[in-house]
Amino acid sequence: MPKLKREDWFDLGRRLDWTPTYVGREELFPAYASDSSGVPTDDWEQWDEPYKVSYREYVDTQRRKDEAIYGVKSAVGRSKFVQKTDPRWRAIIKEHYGAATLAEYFAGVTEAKLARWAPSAAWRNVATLGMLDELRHAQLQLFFPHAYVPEDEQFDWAHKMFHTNEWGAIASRSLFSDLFLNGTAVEAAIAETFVFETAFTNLQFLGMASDALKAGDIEFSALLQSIQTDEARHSQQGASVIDVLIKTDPEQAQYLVDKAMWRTWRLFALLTGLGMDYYMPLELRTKSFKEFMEEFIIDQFTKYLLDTGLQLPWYWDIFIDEVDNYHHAMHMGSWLNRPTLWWDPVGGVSPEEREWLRSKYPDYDRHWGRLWDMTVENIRNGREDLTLPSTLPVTCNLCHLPICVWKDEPDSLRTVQLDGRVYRFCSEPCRWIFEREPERYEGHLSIADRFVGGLIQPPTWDGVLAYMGITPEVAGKDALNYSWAGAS
Amino acid sequence: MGTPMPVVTVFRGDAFYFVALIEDTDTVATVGEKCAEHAVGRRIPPSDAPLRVEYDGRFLEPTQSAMDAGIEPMGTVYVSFS
Repeated sequence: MPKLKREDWFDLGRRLDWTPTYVGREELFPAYASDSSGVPTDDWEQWDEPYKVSYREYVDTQRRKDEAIYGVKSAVGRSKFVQKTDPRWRAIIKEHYGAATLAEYFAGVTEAKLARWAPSAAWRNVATLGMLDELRHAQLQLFFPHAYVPEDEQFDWAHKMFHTNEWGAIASRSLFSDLFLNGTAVEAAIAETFVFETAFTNLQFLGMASDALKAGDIEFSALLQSIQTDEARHSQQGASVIDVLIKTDPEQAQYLVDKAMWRTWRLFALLTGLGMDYYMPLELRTKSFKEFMEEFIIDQFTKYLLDTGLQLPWYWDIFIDEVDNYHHAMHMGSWLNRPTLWWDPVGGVSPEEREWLRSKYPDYDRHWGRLWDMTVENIRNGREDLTLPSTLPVTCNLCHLPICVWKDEPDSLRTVQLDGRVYRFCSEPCRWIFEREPERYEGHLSIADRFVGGLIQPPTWDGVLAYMGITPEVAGKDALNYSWAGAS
Repeated sequence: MGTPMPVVTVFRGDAFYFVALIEDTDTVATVGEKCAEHAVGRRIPPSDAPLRVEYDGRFLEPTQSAMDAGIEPMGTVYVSFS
């Protein structure tokens, strides 16, 4: 049977749909699942993706990608690279696998939601391929580190992390449940594909991938780049959704972007900020985290955002200040609480590294260096105990990340009182999100809430670690055994 | 012996908020020490200057008890050197 040319069938194929007769369209695509914004059905017919791929083309392309990446894995596996690699690089890849792997699975479940509930047939087809992409990403990022588990149990957290109550897991699950898994297809598409993927994943999957090559980790570099080529295709859904939504409800479109950008920023500061500015061996660094943020977010993504007709988020000035500071707080906080991590973090504040940090962040010593000075002195005096946790930090009731301050006179702790309970927030945007949708968040408990409420038993530091699923074999230690502090 | 209670605390100049355990019969001075120990000598250099405790927008009398000063469970206690 002769095949039709692509241009003869593709446009019909991508939009193939039918008018339901057994049920109404509202039953087939209920508002709570598909779209509650009131956009007319006909408007969704205009949904259009710039980069079009047929299923046959998809299968062919993906098969070749997988052949290439599994080929790299086979070659590298024989050299036992990870066992021999610098412990600073191992910190980067362990943190990555724990944070990213099942997040990909959440993204796949979300794309599956779009594949069923998106109010446009063409969009449902693009989302179907996106679902396959994300399942691929989850499988790759489970399979690759699995090879290292027999020799290093911390790699098991590529799978285990999201199943625990480790504080990073609580924060990550909160984000993915809020932005991806809950909400309508329209809401999830904007949060996941427009903000999370188009803006931020480039930091980790392109920025870190190029660093990986310098570190000699060909496998990790090839893996991340292969993953990001899929991302470039399925992330295009989001802008197309905004193009339609903005005609009916521009305020809702703006809110969804503002919320997703704030929550996503915080998570990537914790992931990519630590890797780029502290874990990456100094001699291999190309750009600072702030410089990557300036390139990918402040420059590229803002142009993309403004092109859709939306505005910069209202908290832009707060965000710019945070780009200079927040990841430094996250690094210090996570290093000080290193027994709660599933990787061995790097201090990253040797004299040479401090000089580099000062060159990239002129206020570094004023906000952060002076706090590290006392820590280094304690290590040199054999007082490691004074650099380990003495109590629980307080985390934000919205984002579940540690509440931190870096101004000379910090604002008073931001709180909201609701139904007899006090909620605490790390920032004005987090409080704003909570106050916009309190019913969505009011039942959640921070780690401190759980401790005070008796959910962590015994109420001791060992009880906290057990609650977090951290075993003695996994609990993080300084990656270089304090050699950077000049300890004897 | 008083009733133990948790408070939220930050030392002015430190970067993090913590949960600290005090007792309602502790003096404000003791509350200050129990809160400060999570920061002073760890990230904040020790000092001979006395500690001062802020709660609910005012500095508290060091000899008052926590209960009489109005400190409530999971209230926010700000500590600094005078």
